Amino acid sequence: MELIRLEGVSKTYADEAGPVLKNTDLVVEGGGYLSVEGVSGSGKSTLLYILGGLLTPTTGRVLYKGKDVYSLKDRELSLWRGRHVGYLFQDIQMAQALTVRENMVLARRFGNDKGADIEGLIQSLGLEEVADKLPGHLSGGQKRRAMTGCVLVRRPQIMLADEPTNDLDREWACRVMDLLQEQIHPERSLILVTHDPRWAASASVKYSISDGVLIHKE
Amino acid sequence: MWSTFLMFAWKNMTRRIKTTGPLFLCVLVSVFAIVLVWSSYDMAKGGVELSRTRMSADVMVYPYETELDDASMLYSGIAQSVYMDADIIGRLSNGYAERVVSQFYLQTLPTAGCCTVMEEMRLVGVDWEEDLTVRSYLKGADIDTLDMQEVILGGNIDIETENTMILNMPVRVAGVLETTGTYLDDSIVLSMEQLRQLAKVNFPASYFGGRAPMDLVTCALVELKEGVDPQEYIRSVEDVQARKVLISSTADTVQDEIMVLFRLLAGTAAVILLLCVAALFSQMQALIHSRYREIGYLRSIGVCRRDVYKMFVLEIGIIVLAAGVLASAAGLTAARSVIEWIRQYMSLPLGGWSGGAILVHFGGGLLLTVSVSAVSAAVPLCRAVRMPPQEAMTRGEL
Repeated sequence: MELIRLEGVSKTYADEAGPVLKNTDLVVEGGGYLSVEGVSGSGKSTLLYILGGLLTPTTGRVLYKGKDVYSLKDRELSLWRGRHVGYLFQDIQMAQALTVRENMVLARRFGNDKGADIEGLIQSLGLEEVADKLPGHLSGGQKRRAMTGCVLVRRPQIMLADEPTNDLDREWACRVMDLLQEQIHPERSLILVTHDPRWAASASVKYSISDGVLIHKE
Repeated sequence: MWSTFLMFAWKNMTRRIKTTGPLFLCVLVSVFAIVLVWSSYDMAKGGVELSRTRMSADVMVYPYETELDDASMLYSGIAQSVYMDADIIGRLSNGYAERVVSQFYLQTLPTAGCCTVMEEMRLVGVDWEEDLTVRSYLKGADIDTLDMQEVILGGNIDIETENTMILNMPVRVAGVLETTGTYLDDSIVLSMEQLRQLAKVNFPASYFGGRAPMDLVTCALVELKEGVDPQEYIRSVEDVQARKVLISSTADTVQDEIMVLFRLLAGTAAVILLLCVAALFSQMQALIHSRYREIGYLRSIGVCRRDVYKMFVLEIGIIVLAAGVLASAAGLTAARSVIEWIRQYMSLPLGGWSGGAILVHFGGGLLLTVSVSAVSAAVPLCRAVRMPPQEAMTRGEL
């Protein structure tokens, strides 16, 4: 089942001379696990932002179940993002005045599963001791795990993970990747942007991106 | 949804004290300064206006020996036990005068046998039927006559209304006066005849210079006939050996003095307000700019623009309203102290403040708070919320 499709998508930023993403076509099926590799500045994050409804493409369309998401009104687009997209950003993004647990409660409020088990997630991610701390008081690895919890608690259909193992030691990197992959389901898919060939190799569909051009590797 | 927004706003407000604290202070100081000056001015102006409106006398006459200036005699609360002969009333009643009434003041002393009123208090004897000053301040329905042993209490007098004795005489409280900010607030009003009799019984003749209290008055108030020039009247009674005060010009002088003083205070408040508003704009800008990343993150998890507005309006609203309420209340309270302080240097009546006047000043303070805050928050907030989520996240502070 097709979840999301990109048709002829390009993106040129106002302060850039040329397009960062060029005429990109992509289809993400339900249950799919895609990896995108590429050097810094090749357009990987831009591709994820566009897929996640966070950045309007300069040209082309992003279709979710046949409907162009960027033609939606702000309220509908926000609702769509909350229900269907979970974005694990490369930089740490959380509400800084809320504790880890409160961040998860807030994220769950806008997600797909209002009854998602926050305490179970906190345990799975080893955050028991820091669940009531503010993000500013956590280590880099703890922040990364807390962010992962905020994404998983929403049970999104499309998980966009931009270097999700940054800041994590080997053991936690494996556990976080396992948790992300466990979410893959006939109606849920994972799109992973990574430099790490080990994680890229575990994907069922592999892409690389170079100078804004998305290339199917197999 | 509102509970989520409220929780978010509250946590941000209390856990980001380094950014919300200065904002709170800016609002607090600016609103306090404005409410303080505005309320003090209105209170002082209102007092003079009230005295001018209600006092139907045009000229006040009192002994040269009185150690007070004209404004102090009119507005201060200082008791003066200096007397002049009662026959002065006849000499003041010429063709220009509509009516002349007199008052007789007496100071009670704790040792003089005041049974339940154990503090020193001024007693004012008036001719109730003809009175030109006291009667207009009576709370509730007017009283036609003030019988012997009946008293009217000033606004600040707090004594039992039953079984009260003054100078060994049992009295009945017939009424209470509004607060005027003048000597009346701390006075007990009796009929002049009754007070003179009490004076005769309770005080030695030496207290009155060997004269009989029944032949004495403390001051006289003259109401002139329609169209009579008060200056002309004063010239017509030049031979009367007493000080004559033109009430309207004294009130004008006091009002002019108030204006000069309050222009200075208003100037100071305006400078404070300008500095604080500039700081408020800068603080608001800083507060919102520091939250760009958070706004981007909120949008990414499904919060729509309108809800981001709600969250920030709620958060900023709580901060500024808390500061505004505190500043308005403190400004109103401090205004009273400012007036009391000013009264140490110049004679000034206080306007009795009604609930409506307090509400107007309190509401005005809040309106100022909301307006200034809304203006300062609108542009940066709109800019931040309208920004695409990805841009907000990449432009925000790390």
